[in-house]
Amino acid sequence: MNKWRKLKTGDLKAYLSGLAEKWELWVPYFNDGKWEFGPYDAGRDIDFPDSIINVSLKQLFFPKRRSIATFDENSSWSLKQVMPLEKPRIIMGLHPCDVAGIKYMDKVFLDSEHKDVLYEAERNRTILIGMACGKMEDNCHCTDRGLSPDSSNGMDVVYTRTTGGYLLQSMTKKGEPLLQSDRLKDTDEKPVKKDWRRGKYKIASPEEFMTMYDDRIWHDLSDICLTCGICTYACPTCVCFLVADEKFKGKGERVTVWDSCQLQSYSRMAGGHDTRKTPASRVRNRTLDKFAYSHLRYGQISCTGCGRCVLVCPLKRSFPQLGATVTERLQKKKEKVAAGKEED
Amino acid sequence: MATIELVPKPATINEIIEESRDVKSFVLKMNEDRAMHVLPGQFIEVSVQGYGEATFAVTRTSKDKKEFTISVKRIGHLTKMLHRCAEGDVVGVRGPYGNSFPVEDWKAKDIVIIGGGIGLAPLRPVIDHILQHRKNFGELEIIFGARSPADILYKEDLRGWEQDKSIVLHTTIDVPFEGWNGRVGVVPVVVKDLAVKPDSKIALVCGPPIMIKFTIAALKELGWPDNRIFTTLEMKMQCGIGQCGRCNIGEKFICKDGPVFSLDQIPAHAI
Amino acid sequence: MNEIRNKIIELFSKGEIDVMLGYREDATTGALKAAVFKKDDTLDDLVFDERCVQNLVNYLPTLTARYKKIGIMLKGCDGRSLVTQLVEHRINKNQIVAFSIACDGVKVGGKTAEKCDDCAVNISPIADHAFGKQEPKKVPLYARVREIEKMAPAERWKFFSEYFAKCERCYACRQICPSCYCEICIADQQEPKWIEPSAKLSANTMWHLIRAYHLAGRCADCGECERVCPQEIPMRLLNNALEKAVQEMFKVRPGTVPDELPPLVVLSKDDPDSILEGRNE
Repeated sequence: MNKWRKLKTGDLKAYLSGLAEKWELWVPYFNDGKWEFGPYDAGRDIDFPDSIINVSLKQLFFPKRRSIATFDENSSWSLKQVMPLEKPRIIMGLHPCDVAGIKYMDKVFLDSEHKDVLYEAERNRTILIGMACGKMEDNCHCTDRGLSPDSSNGMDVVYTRTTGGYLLQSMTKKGEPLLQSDRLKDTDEKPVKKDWRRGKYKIASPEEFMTMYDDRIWHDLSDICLTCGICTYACPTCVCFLVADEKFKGKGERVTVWDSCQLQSYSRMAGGHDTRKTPASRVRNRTLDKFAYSHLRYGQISCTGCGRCVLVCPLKRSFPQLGATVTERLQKKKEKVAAGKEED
Repeated sequence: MATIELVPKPATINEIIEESRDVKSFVLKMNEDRAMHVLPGQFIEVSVQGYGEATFAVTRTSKDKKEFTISVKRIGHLTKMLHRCAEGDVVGVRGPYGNSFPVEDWKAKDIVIIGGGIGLAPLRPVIDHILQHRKNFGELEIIFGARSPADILYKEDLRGWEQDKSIVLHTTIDVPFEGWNGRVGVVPVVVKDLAVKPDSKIALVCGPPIMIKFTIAALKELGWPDNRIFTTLEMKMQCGIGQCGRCNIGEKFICKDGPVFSLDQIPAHAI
Repeated sequence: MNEIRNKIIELFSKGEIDVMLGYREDATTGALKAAVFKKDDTLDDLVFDERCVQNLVNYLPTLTARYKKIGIMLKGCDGRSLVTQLVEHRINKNQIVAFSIACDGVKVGGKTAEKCDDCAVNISPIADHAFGKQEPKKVPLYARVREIEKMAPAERWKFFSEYFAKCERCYACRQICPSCYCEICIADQQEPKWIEPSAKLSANTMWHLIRAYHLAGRCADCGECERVCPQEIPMRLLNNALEKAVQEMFKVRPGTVPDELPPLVVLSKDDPDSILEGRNE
């Protein structure tokens, strides 16, 4: 087990500037009322939020609009693929739920016969310095999804706030060089283990969710959901995309663009046939995908319990609550069957 | 440098065949001049530079496996641009992707192939395979329905199948048409009328979604079990490699776990 | 509040409504959400106060397909919205029981919503049952628009393009707008592909401008589009600018007079010629 090293608060800026000399460094900044990752700016004050960073770092591995090839409009075939990025990068200040999101994206893009080499390049060039959470926000419920706010799983370096500064520990070979700085001192101090709340949004097992496909609850729930798609853009594991050709003044790019299963056009085919025409079917698809399909495909449910969907929903709906409501109904149905009553 | 799977490779249109009023077949060959090992039922993604990409079942491959054919119905943006292409034009191709019809499991079996309109395209490679290995299979019955005589595809193949004594062919059009003396009736009704018995046969069904739904219903009424009815599904596949998310039926991706499925492999609501 | 609850109970018992569309206070979080109340549901958590920001009219088309008669709680701006929906025949008045509730402004994130600052429609123009009294404020309309109009074109472009660049094309503005109901939105059309799907400045600009024009003379200014935007794009400015132009040309504010048709739908020989003239800047 690697020792913890301590960084005094006063040395934080110097340490980061040291990192920024060799790596492209990304840290959280508070802009316009939201925490989001941005390139390190020595001129700005640095602080790390003790819990969720509002804007997920999905964009840093899988951009909203990502060029995969360029072409010249005037030639009959000139499609040339783009070069993957290679510049070494550090993302510092992400939390365990962010890492869980990245690990899910790994399953989608890397555990595949046709792995996404652009995504792979972003992963390979990036070192993750993750921060253990100091608290759980109102909508945080990672503990109900098999995670923990102070987990270091998947991080190259983990750090936590302590009196007078931060405690850092390297978790992988990739992370070791980052702790070489002489700003860090060996220490016997250890992070204090915390008890975290759980049980806010408990859900049934993936297999049980699968039995709810034909239930009428989806019509009731979708009465209110407007299928705008904001939850999918905020979610760290929603990576559905479309591929499009975009051209302007002779130059063209083939791009992947974030799409959303909630939008009307998602499943509509050229002839007009649409397998998910109704809002109810789209809400059902997303719910079952998050809590069941993802598990059946990748062995991991794609909800990380970060609660961002609750923060961004314009109707103040709660997607996790939706999962819990479906679970409640499941329970009721089981009880009815057990009591020999008719299902409704 | 590592290849980006989503970026297509160039292929030249060697031949264009006008199949019907809105369907053209394109015989393609990779500019790299390599063999494309496409199994019956697999699909490719075809691009016209600047106009996007769409999914097409491969409907025939040449003996040397270098040429492969797709049949394209002009129905949207990309298909419209494809129809404007000429022989010699270059298009983009990715694939082949997907699973294939398990023809190896069907040795000595009787096969019934039911195609509606452009739905015959992904089934034709199975017919080709059977005819190339005729002794390995039992009876072959083909039921093909088109909206009208102007929508009949693969006229040359149909003539050949008509004359082949080892094939029982039924061609039908949806509604009566002047000059048409053949069978009239939509495919599901024809299937009922012919009372195609299941015995230990295998049925393959493909066509517009509504045709698949009612044909399968007709087969089940005749006693066909789920594990001997096969279909190939098209559900807005885009990436073709199980990443963009949209082609899912439950936890299965049509592009990866399909597009060929036997009915016992998919939930009832999928049809 | 009890007056409203009692009326709802009365209408349920008489069978005059099948469901009531209102606002429910969430017991655990205290947040306020749009909710459908059925006959046997308790009305204890039905509220109407300054937190009732959401425009409930958006839910009517789906609900009218499932239920025969729907009661709906309406602020002034919501009532305007309902009028536009009725006039476009999206819903039938005989399926709606309109509860007009006097509104003194709503709060978003603890502060009074910007749209309430220049609101002159405190009471719904349409009502079957009215609650509360509110004198319509005498406020100068389109104050924000006039501020922008003072800017030179280059300055105006800088102002708007900074916002458009942030747009994620989540289409929350479209989904929450009662007047956006095209079966296939222009942004989703492939044939021709009017607007590119990716979230870049040129395509985003197209999206916002086209949407504003499609709403000209129809937008009831409920303000929901701006409220739900995760990037806080002030798109109401665009809608208000066009509403101001329509008001100047046709003397009509959409949704303020029941049964009044949208001016751009009606051809009348009194239509001003100015609509055909270009504006030279």
